Amino acid sequence: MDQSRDVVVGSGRVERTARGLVGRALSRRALLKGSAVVGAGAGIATLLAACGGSTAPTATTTSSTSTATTGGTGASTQTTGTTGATPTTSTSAPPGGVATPGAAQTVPAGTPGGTLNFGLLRDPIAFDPHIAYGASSASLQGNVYDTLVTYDQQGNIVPSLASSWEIQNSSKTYVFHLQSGVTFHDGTALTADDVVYTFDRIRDSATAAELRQELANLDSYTATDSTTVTVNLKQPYSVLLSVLASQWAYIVSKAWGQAGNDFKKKMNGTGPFKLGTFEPQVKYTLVKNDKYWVPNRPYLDQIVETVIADDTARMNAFKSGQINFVEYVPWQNMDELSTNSADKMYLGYDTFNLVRLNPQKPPLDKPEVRQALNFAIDRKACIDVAFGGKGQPITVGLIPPGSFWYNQQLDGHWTYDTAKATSLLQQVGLKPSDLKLSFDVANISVHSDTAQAVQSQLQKWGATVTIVQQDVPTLTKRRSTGDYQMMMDGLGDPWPDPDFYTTYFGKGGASYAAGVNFDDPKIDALLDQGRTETDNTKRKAIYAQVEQQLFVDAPFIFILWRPQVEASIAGMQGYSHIPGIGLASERFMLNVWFKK
Amino acid sequence: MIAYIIRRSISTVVLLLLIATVVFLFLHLLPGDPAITILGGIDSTPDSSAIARVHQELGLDRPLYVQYVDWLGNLARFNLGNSFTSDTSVGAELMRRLPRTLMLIIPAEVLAIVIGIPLGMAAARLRRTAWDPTISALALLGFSTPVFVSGLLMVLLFSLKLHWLPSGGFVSPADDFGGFLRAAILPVITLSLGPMATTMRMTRSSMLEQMGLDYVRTARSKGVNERIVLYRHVLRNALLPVVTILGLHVGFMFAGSVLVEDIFNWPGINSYLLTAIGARDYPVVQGIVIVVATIFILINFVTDLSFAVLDPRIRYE
Repeated sequence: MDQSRDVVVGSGRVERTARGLVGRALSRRALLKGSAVVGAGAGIATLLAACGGSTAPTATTTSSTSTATTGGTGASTQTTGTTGATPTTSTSAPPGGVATPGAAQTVPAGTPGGTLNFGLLRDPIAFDPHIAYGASSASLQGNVYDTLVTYDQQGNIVPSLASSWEIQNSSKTYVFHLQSGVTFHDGTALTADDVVYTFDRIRDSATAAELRQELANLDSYTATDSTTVTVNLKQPYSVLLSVLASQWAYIVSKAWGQAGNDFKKKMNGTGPFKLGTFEPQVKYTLVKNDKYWVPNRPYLDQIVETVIADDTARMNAFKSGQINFVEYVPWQNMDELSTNSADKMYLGYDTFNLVRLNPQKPPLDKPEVRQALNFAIDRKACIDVAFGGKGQPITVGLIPPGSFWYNQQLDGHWTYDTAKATSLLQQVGLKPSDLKLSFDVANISVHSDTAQAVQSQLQKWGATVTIVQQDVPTLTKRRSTGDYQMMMDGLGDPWPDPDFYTTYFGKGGASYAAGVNFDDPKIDALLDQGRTETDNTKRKAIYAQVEQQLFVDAPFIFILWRPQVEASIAGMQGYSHIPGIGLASERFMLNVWFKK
Repeated sequence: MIAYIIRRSISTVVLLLLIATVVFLFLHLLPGDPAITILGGIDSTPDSSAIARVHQELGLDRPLYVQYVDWLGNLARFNLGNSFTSDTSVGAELMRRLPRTLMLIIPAEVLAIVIGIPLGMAAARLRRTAWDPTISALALLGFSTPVFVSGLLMVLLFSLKLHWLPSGGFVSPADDFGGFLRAAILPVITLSLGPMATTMRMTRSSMLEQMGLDYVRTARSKGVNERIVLYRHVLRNALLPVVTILGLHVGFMFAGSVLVEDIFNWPGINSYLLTAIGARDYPVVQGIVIVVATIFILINFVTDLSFAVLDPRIRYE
């Protein structure tokens, strides 16, 4: 199934974005060799213009030594002809020619005004723009802060605070040119020093920043002048732009930070909205930044984010009209929403459910046993039981089907085959009934429902599986110390670049490997190669090898992609669940407006 | 009476100390680490040095008894400390949240009394008619329906079908009193159903018991007006067990409002507690438990004292 199938259902119509078509229509090599195009292609821009109004190519073209490739799931192109069903619109460049994050440039089409009443699943906990507090905080920080580069609605990397960049020195030097006229909410102007300060802060271990390992790849970075930042790498690092576009790479103010302001309690960004009044765990108000550097953005006067933890209460608030946008829509509500013309639904299969296997705990120390567990699971049945049939099986790895990086030739590796599972066990002298496994599961329904399906399948096969139900803090503690045998989890890819495998399976990878001392030198070597290679076709082949090695190591039971759904009233325009970005699409509320 | 109050006060302090100790110990025995939440929670994977640094900032690297003595010392000075996650004063946050929970509990209790007691009396008086089983059946229904069922049914009817009332949320009465009333109606009714039913049942059975006693027959044989018999003699004596129940209701209501606040997204003390437990925010959990325990003990104290007012035979020495 195509993960890019972000379906907007409303008024009985189903639109498919043509991203996959655009992406595949072009040769990556041609892109790499051609003159550099940085930014959203007009081809994509026209796609975005479906809401009406004319589009303009944002492409800030530079005559640099190399090309900024997107590294994303799609491609940036200069093509104006579209392959999809969207009408081609006239193109006229607006003065200034700046890009709009989260969208390709469009001449104002939306109606200004209105309030987005947003129902959040979880409290954002705190405001630190470099710590990962989960998706609910992306909507808060992402609309207050900007990143150097960002994503358009197709998941391509486009300019943001950096209006252009050049890649030089065999991809070991990146020169970023900052957008002019950008000010922080406290009134101070953005300079290159702020970018350097941001990188310093992320790399400082005291910050505990999410990107500390990624930015450790930077050799040096300097403010060449007040609007230019030069980044030198030890070796080519193809993932850099994806990292800098992610929701943990927000640019902060040096003067503000050095004045002793607490990043956890206050926010001072350059983004489309400013933090207004708030009550922790209850309600956060974001107000329009009238001085935002992108002309005619944002449309909304304000965003009011209300935390409604209970699924039913959140959906009731949406159905009764108290909120007009809601995240984490339970799958049980999907049918109802897709048939109701008063609502719109935004769907992506970009969160995956998996079982972590601890290779330190026998009998899971034997790869054959871990592989056998993968073959003993009927993924289709899991999807039917836990998500009412609304999900997609994982048959390869963690790259979503439909992504440019998906290795089609490996498709279907993980299947339901108990005979194979049993014979794998026999190779190490075991039979299913020898397996007595303990299974840690958090009390989150999307986790525990899947876990019960997995348990019943493994029991049917002959193994004994004991579920240990616990609350989230208990689970996170055990996860970080590796104190488990099997553990249910649900995760999302941090960015649409397959180097995310490093955070799981690279040596010391914080998301999995570190906790259980997982280390496969073959995978490490391949991941190193993948990071330093700049040709996307070659990179893709490298990650196919990574996935083949994961077939052997089987560190997870790969189960399913679960539906990740947001919903709004039908009149809301300008939001999309971006392929590969998933729930972090909530960062881009600057494009949202309401039809009167 | 004074001596009794003094003795009760001392035992209250001892009880609170015991509760404080138990809460502290159990909370710290629970698996889980507040540092992980502060560094992002389930979506984050902080390294051990970052966790160690947070432990140091929060003072969690100190021996447990030092933390305990430190916390008790602050408690004695009415300082509940600061939240680990938001770094705001627990006392200040409680001052903001507790009134909201009381805005549910007090009206619910009043509703339980003004509807439960008359209904119970009616059922007792109309014992041999069809009214008694009808009222009793309703009470049974109210008592046995969990709040998450009755609450959701009311949301379904009054919010989603009829669009009369909001499905949840809190509006400060200081900002918009009408909005506050609209927001409070459903949660208050939901919360009051159970206590209303027990009040009704208790009033009914207690009245019936009194009505069969000798003094009632004596009063009637003296030719006392039936209304005076019922209201001055029977009701007064029948209310003793009812008042006991009302005192216990407060505990029931605090427990019931956990679910009610969740269903109606009411930002009171319980949603604060639930989030804090999920974050292992020790000062917040400890603070809330101590405050609620104090309220509960005080109310039972007042209940005991009110017996002496209701029944002159009861004396506290």
